[in-house]
Amino acid sequence: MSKLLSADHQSVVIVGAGLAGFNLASALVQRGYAGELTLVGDEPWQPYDRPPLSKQFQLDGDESQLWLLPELPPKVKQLRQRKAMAIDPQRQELRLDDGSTLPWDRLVLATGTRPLRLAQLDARPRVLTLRTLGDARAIRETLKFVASLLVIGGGPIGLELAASAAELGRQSIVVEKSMRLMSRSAPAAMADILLEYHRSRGIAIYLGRTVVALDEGTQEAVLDDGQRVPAGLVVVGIGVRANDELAADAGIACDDGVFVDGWCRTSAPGVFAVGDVTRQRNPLTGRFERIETWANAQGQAQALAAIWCNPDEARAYEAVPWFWSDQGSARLQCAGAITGEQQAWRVDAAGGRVLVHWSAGLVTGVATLNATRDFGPLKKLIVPRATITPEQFSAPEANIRALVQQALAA
Amino acid sequence: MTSNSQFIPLCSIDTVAEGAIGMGYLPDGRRVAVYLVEGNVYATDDRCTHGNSSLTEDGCLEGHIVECGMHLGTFDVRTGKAVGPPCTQALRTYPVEIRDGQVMLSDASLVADLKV
Repeated sequence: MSKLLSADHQSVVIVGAGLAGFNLASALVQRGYAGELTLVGDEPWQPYDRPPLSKQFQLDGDESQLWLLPELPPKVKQLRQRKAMAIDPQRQELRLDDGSTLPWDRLVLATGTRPLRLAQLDARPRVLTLRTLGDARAIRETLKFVASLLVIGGGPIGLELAASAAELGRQSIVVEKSMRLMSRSAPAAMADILLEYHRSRGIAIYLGRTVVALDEGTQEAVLDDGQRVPAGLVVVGIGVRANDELAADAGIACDDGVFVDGWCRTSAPGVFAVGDVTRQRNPLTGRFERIETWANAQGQAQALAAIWCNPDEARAYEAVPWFWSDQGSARLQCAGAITGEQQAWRVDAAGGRVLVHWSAGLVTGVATLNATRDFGPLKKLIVPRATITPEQFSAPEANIRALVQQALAA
Repeated sequence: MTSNSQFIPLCSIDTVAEGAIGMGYLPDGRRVAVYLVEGNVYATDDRCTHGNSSLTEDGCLEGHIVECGMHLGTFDVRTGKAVGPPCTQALRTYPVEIRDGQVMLSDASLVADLKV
């Protein structure tokens, strides 16, 4: 791999100013990259953090808490409200929506994802999605004058938002078409506990149901079984699709996500991708997946900066996927695989739940609910393939931290 | 007044195991996290600067690095510097020393400041 930093006439262009794009720019500067660096984003704001948008921001509206820090130095050229229109891989140019072009030696796609929409509800007033600060503002403003929030989709963002609205005193309803919550991201047993938790907090959750119509007059939604539920505001949170059109149009290999290897390389020389938009090999499943987590956007960007700036020491990025989701007072954390042929539970003294999955005797996944203390240590067992047994883990007197330390030292 | 008046006891050193995280309270009621690493004692704010989680309750110490349990961000307990994401803002640190088996907040000006 060539040394990027030895040549300071290089120019790097990053498309997308979300967490991954911001972090890459930030890490390159920190590692002493001296060439040109341009960060192109289509939003009007300085780079900001998205996790609070469904939670703290809904409660307090404090935008000053959102900005990603430390701010990028002036040597990073930041273009805002500028959309990238086309990549010319041969001429190594990026065309922007104002007709200008940016030349690049290395181009990085950090274009993220956008929420899926429901065709039957499109273009209806008070039907929103949540991805950007603009979306979050609209939701927050609308929640001020409606009595209820209907979230379609029982995934992390929808559940976080439903919990926030409940905290704000709104009637919260969640309609999920599968028979459980968080089917793509959390173990089934943990999802059952979350379901109980949210219901106990007064959130109405309908599983195995879909919304077929909205009644503007009564501000209700009609479910597929004919039930009517309050729907002052509707937020659709049924997943996302990758903003990969820019890459696909340039002939770069994509499938709802830009394919990258462990070095963040796409199929086009000189073109890289990081963050939610990528489709990368999940080290636990072996499959190419989109890993739509904060930790991945951050980690992949850091890894690419390291690969470029310290190529001799660089390693392929293969971090264990993990995420957190703070839903009201429920703190969910999941790492690794969400299934395994063996699983065991612990309930700690404060009622926190810890669920570990094993496959072929090795720990492949950890999920905790209000047990943040044990999550970090147990997560460490997933990478090195050190292990503890279900019996050790489940023993009532077990000290999880000591067990993990012993296993890692063995 | 003895010279001891410029020290505030945080906790007994016996309550802070090497590699574990101890707990003390400032006069204003705020909780601080106390660490014993290779025989040296350090103290920082208890609240992670990112997610408002308690380091003494949910944190994990490895060498000089404390990891917050909530989002796995890390800090160097010697300087308070944020060293791992998502944390970016430093933790406040407090100068401490061990006197007569007590972990003492030991900076005169800070002590005066906190006593107000």
